[in-house]
Amino acid sequence: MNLLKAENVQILDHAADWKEAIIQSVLPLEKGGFVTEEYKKAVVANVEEFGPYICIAPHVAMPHARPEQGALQTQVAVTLFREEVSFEREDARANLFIALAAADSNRHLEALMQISELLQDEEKAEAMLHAADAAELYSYFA
Amino acid sequence: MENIKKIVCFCGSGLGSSFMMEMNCKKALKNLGIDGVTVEHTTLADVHSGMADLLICGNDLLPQAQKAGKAVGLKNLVSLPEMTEKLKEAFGI
Repeated sequence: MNLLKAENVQILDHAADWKEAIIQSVLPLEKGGFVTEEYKKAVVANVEEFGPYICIAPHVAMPHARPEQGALQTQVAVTLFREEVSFEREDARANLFIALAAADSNRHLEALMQISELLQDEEKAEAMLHAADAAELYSYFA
Repeated sequence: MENIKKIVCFCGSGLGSSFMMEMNCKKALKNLGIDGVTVEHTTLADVHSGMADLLICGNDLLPQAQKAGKAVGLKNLVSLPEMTEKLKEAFGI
């Protein structure tokens, strides 16, 4: 996936709560200059307002906000939490966080299609959840 | 078969998960052999009554969707089998 860099893939043990998980998962995008500091706060605020709409599949969350909420360049970052993160709702939990920054409403569509295709493959999705290290995790998206 | 001509998929941001649902919806319609249906995606803030014959969203947003018309909620937003199943029910086929 050309919108994901190896250095933006990480594996963390756990997050204190879902807000912390969102912040950690967006941080690589912030460090790389792809989003402003506001972006992670916007994602948290959106989830507080609309509920966990970022939980897109079993075990998978895709933190994202609108371009005008601080996305500077289109890019993806992937964080796997060894310990499941709960969104305070029975059916909303995730380990794999695929943070997305979309600078406009079109440029990111290709990345979304690829993510969608990847997650359709249940075996691959399962393997991602058990990746031994960041390099292995990255390989599933390459 | 239900007369559904316009479907709108939506999520909290209107550009991530809603687009994934739109793609899967188009794929599922094609697989089911249903033509002539417009599929779009948008944000929850733009959802209003009468905008579509069918609204599709994640289960979490279903209560809001139902205020604006006929709606279905998905557990897995990227699952083609689930989308196909929900569309079959909505179209009554």
